[in-house]
Amino acid sequence: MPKVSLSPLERQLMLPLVKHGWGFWALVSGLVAVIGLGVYAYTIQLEYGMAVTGLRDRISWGLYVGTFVFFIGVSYGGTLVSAVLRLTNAKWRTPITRLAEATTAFSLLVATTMIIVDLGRPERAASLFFRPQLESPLVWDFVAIMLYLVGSLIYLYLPLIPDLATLAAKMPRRRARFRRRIYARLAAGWRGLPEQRRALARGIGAMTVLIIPVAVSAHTVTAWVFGLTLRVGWHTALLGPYFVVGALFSGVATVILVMAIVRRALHLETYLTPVHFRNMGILLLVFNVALFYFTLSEYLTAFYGGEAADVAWVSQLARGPYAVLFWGMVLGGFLTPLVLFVVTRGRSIGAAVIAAVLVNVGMWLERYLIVVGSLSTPQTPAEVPLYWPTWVEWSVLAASVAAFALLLVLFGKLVPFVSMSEMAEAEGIPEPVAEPEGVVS
Amino acid sequence: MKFAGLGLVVALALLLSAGPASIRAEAEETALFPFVESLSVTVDGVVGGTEYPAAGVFVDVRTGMVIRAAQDGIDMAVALTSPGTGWLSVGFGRPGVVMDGDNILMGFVSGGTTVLTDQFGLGLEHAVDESLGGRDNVLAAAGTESGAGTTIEFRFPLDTGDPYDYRLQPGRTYGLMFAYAATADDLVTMHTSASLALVTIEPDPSRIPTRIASLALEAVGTPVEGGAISLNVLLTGDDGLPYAPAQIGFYVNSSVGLGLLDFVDVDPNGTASLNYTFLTSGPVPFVARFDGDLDYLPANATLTVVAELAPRESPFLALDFAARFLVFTVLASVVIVYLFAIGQVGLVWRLGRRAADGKGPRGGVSGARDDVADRKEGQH
Repeated sequence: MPKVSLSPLERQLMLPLVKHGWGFWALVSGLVAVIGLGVYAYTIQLEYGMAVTGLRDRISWGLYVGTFVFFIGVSYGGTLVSAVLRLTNAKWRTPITRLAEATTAFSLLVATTMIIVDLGRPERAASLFFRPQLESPLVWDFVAIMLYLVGSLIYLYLPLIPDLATLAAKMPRRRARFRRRIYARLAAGWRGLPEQRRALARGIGAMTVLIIPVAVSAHTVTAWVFGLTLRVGWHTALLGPYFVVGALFSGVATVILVMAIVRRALHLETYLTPVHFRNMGILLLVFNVALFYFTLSEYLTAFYGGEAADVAWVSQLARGPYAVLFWGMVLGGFLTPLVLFVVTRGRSIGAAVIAAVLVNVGMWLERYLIVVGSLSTPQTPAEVPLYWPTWVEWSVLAASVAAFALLLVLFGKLVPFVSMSEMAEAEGIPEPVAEPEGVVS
Repeated sequence: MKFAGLGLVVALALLLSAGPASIRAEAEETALFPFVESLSVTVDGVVGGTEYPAAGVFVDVRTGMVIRAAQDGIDMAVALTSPGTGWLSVGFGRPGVVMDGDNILMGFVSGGTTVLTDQFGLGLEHAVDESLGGRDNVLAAAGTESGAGTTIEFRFPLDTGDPYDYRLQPGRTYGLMFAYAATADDLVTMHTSASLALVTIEPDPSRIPTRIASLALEAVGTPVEGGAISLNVLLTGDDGLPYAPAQIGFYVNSSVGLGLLDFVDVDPNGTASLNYTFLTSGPVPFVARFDGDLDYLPANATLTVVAELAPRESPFLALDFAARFLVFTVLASVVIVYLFAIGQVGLVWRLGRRAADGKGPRGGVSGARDDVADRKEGQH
């Protein structure tokens, strides 16, 4: 039998990859069931058309588009935590970079799916390739998001390479022969050579610098899909940066949430410490204040000007049919997380998790209200019906969240959530270049 | 003149009201000037019990003013009552247009004397017709005043022929404007209240038009984006001769219905013209419409004019090209960086292969096992 030596770090981080308890199977079954419900609802939509949704000619964008914008925003967490903190050489980021990068890639995958669902006729997505209207921001939104998705996948893959090589060499052969071969292929012949390290560092460095503007462009162009439309609540120069700050806010919250779940489920308390939650909480606080400033600026400008349409829009949100959602967003999504963090001084992981959940719910509401609130404001004297999603839309929404969770869960069963190579480097554990005879035969 | 503030305030009132007032006025607030065989109104400032037909009484809710009217197809007799003791006025013009081009009759009763002036709306200002070169066409006027309000009766031709009056034709609907001042007996103090409505001039029910007019529409000029053309119509009667007086409505037939460009009076030669500027290229379907009168049935003419694209600057210098070049450069740069990053993975792979082939340093414990080595392990 070949001899394989595992360091304590490798042993702990690789254990979840081979050990699947009943909790794992229960979680996967539950998520698959929710996704199945969403797929069933979608088949109903395909068969009977968009009439099974609450969308109509006046309010043609609703829950689907709001969720799309939300998931695009969630993807920012990875970009920020991984790229920005990597660029600024913040050492504390090491255990959470992979979680963040995976969050980015999977949220983008789900976001693109939501747009296909919203099309109603999914085959019409092909028109973006065959009959693109270059004057339309929708086309450029597609281009920006695709570039962001491809970039995120590359950015997720590059730092994985050393770990993939370790997994190919050290996974138990009896139980993971096929997986070892896949790992070996994906590891691209990684042997930890100095030249290989330099090449990989060059690739990661280039992507680190590039992924930030690509991410900003993706969300700005998404904002322009709304902002370039002459509609009250949308047609504002503020919308691009407003979307970006909101995305950072929800992205950081999602990473905190994923960190907490992974820490608890995989017993990674050694690596994901209260310091990480506190630092992420500080980031959350900063973006909370920034987003509150943008929100206040947006609504005050619209209301104070006194234009009839603007006043109608703000009134509809503040005291109209969407008031509960709007004030729920402000109080639950902005103020309560702020209070929670200040009261606990960022030292409570539980408070950070509650804040992250509230922020995510609040930011989803914010996206929903941006889309539906503006479309519900009449542009003509005709009566505009209120929009409320049907069970089909709620099912697809639930499936999208479940799909995001399932992708993360499966990802965590294929590679460690915490980068073994980066942790070893951070802890100063030397990685031998020359292969000692007999260790791996 | 401070009465000019009427236009601004009416416009503001329309903006602040719950819905578009012009639309509501078309739907709800339409007065009728009923046709009578002979006008038996005594212009004395006192409204007699049967002096005006019941159908001719209209109460304007917004101002509280009341207008009573009758007409015989030639003249109209009007009794205008306000809830104040100052000046009061009524204006006739295009529906939905505030003051501009209106025929305005404005007056007051002071010390037993009635003053009624024939004025003309100029934008949001107004001036006495005579100061503009027109005539005072009021045929008779008398008024009374009490604590409950002021009433002025007057008689006025439906069609004076004066360019500073608005010609009213039986069977047509016009804009109607009300305004009054609470106490000021002058023509300059700001109004207390003002309002817009519509008025329909009832045609003689015994005269049903049967004659058929012809309307020809042509476009003169080069139809190009940003350029202007002249839309000319010729209205001829069933005798083949030019027909006048009449009014032609010019419209664009849009996807949401006819969009009014303007009304133009037909000249004695039976022609009317309107200039139109193309904001974009492409086809524009025009419609010219004669609404008919006591003798003639309505007539339409349509014409679709295709405006060409305006000549562009050299593409190389155009902003459009620069924008496309910038977008292409940015996208290409992103793709190049992606390829560079993937290329580094290729380099890692080549270095690994060289090490495996013994041409370079061998990997350590974290080195990946290639398939060949893995298969050998399997054989063990």
